[in-house]
Amino acid sequence: MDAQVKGMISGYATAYESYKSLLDAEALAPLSALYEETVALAEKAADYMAFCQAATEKNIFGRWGEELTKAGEAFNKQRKETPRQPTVADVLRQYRLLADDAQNRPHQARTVAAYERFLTLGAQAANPLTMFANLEEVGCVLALSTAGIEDANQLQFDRTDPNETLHRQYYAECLEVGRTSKTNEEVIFRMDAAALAQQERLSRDEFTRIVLLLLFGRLLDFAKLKRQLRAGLPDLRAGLDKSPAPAVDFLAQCATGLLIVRDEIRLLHAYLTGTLGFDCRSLATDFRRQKMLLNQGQPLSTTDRVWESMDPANLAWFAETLYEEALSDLSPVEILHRSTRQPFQPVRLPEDEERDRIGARIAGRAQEFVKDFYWAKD
Amino acid sequence: MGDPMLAEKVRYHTILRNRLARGGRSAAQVAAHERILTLAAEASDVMDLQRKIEAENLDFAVSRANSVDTWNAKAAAARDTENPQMAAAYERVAETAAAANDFTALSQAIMAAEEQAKQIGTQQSGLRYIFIGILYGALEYLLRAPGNAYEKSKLAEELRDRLRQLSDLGADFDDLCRQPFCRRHAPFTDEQWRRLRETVAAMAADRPDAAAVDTARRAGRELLAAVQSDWDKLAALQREEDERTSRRTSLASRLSDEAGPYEFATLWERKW
Repeated sequence: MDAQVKGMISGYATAYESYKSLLDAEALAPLSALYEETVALAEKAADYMAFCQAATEKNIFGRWGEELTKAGEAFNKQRKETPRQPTVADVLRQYRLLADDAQNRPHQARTVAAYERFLTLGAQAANPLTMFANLEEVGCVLALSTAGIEDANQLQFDRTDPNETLHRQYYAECLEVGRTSKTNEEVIFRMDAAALAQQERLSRDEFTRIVLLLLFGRLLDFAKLKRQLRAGLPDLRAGLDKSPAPAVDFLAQCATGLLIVRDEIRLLHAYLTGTLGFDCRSLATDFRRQKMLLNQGQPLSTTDRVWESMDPANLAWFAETLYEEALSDLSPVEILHRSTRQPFQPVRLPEDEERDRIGARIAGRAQEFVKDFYWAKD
Repeated sequence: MGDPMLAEKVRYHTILRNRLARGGRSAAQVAAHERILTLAAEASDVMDLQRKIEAENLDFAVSRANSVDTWNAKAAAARDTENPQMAAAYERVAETAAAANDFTALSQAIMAAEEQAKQIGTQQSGLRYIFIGILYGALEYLLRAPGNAYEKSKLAEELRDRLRQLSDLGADFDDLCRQPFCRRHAPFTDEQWRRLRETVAAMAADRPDAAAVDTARRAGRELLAAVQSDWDKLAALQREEDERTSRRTSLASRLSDEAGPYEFATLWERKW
């Protein structure tokens, strides 16, 4: 059975298993039939989408809603007709199912431990009332929900690139919510507040990223125009004997472009420094921003700790072009005559990918890098 | 209190009430447990208490209180981030829950009110998306050179489109600049906001700066004339740089748990 499908129907399985111990055979029969039909459909489906489509066609989800309501009513009726106080074992049986479900899912260590503690302490009580009072007293009931928050956010924290400080800060905050909240409402309040604050932080940070990327783009334009002018001048000489006008126009446009782009680099740099408070010299040690400039994609869906990069030497090209050319006192003529220490190293082209299947090689190597880390496993 | 089960029931509700009170965001549930404890003080045994609880429908009241507290917690988070519209929507869900008298009414009322709150959230996200797009466009316009009339006109056209989208949704850029649900998503001071608003107004009535365009063109022709005699030298310089240029792909990784430099491995290279 597809793992995603299994996860999807696990809630129904748990509900069914719970009612198995609470209802008599006759009352349970419709739920049993529906459960078997769902499992058969899940086993037959090739993937999650196929299951959803087949389940929707047979109205499986709607029927579960109806059957669970009926089962609840039957249980209430049964309880009124033959009143029997549930025992500790009755109650714990349902929690055991949830514990087993958690045990079968990866990265649920805290949740599994919370259920085990709940079950161990719970079993020591003489009756359900004492059991819940004891479990409440030691925080076991709340731990069942907060442990899940801790598990999920610890995993996300560990999967996240340590240089991605804004994301890590958010996961750390959520972990803290799980660790220190005293009630579910406190969890909801703090998680909502943390999510809203995170949205704002990311959005504000995005302005610096966008201006930095605009600056990077303009520096690329600057280098490209400089190259076109230098390489095009001999073309112009060769073309003078034939049809000079288009070549002259083109090169005049390049020269104009070079001057305009230089002005724009100055404007962007001044805005980054003055308004957004970002000093481009800090790029040498600001690894998060380095990644913003170099990142070409994330080969693994589980983590951003490994990413496809353009040549990191382009950071030296960025600093050299910015400070020693565009922002310098050199005249445009002097800039054209200046030899660049570190030329820009371009990225691969679509035809390179087609020929050399670089993407597959990158994904393979990335997987190799992370294969021993617990957080890299699905 | 002679009945040990009654004592146990009191212990349970006392622990729960105290924990909920310590959390500070569960007023309705605290009140429901308080009521049960009051009834327990008057009850002869646990069965008597159960009858009293059923008579006042307190089992339902505890569930309802849970719902009320949940939505009030969400309202408080929205208020804390200066989003009164969203906070009011969540408060309405809490009020609707508080007015319900049975489980069916409770779940139906919550679903309807929740849907309304969701619509407000979606509407705000949509407005914010257009608003932030306008800010990005205004920034780019502001940071284009006056001589770059072509790019500036293109950006101005895009801006007019976005302003029209806002207007179609019954919103106004200047008004959104004052709304915290938009304003808090950008890093600007009051003075910077004022400048951006002016930029947007200027963009909406964009006129190319013909003099700046002429000046840039003239300067370009002068530059070309100044270097035309250096053909061979400049071309040789470019050839030498081209020889030091390759197309490259690297894999960067940071596997240590501390922030720090990436390790780069070149996986592919081809001469330019």
